[in-house]
Amino acid sequence: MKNVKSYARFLEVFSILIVMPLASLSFIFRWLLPASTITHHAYASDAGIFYALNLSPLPIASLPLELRALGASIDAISFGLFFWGAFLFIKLLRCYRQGEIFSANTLFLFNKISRVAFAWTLYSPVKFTLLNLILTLQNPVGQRELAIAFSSNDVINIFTVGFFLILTSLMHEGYMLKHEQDLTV
Amino acid sequence: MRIIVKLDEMMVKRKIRLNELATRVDITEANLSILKTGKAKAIRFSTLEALCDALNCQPGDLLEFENTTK
Repeated sequence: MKNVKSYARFLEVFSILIVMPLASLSFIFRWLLPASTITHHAYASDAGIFYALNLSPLPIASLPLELRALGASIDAISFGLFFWGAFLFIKLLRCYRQGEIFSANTLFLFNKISRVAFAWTLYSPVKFTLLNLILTLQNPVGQRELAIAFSSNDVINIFTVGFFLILTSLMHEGYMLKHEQDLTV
Repeated sequence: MRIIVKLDEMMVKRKIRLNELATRVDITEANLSILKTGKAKAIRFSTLEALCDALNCQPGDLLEFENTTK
């Protein structure tokens, strides 16, 4: 129990002080700062796609405000899902710090985290397609791109979601066992 | 089908209170209350043995099976 509490405390502090600020700064830097120079090639590389097309890249900074706002709102959905999942995870860690391991509350949080992870995984290829289009929409005719991709990152995400689903089932079994043990005299 | 716990009947027969029985059986009053009110999902043999010893009775005096499907 002592290990669970100390790991939970470390992860909570790490998530609040490092992960969430970095994710927020990444979003701000990518879309809101004028100096942002990410291109659709760089974006596709981040997504794990190898690019062989000879398109002239257009930095986000060169995009008109409407397209930049559209891109930011599409990315914001993914960012929002990530933030919501991180918030639920921190709530879960707080339960663990209080010694609440197999309870209805932790089971509920695990279920929600699984659903958020599933939604994030489903949205990832959609986001890639839409952002790729937006980042090339200002290119000359013949150099705009609509790409649909399923990358290795998406495969890893599916494995992660599957792992979370199995964990949720295990937590449910643990909860049932704990509940039975609590009512065993 | 359910198991009915007749602990309160036996406690009345032996004229013993919950707190005294809990002390004799060495379980908490809360747990004994769970058993008495029929909320328990299981009972350990050690607890049943201690109850029978404290109340000077048989397990059948404390537990009854009711067939509710008939």
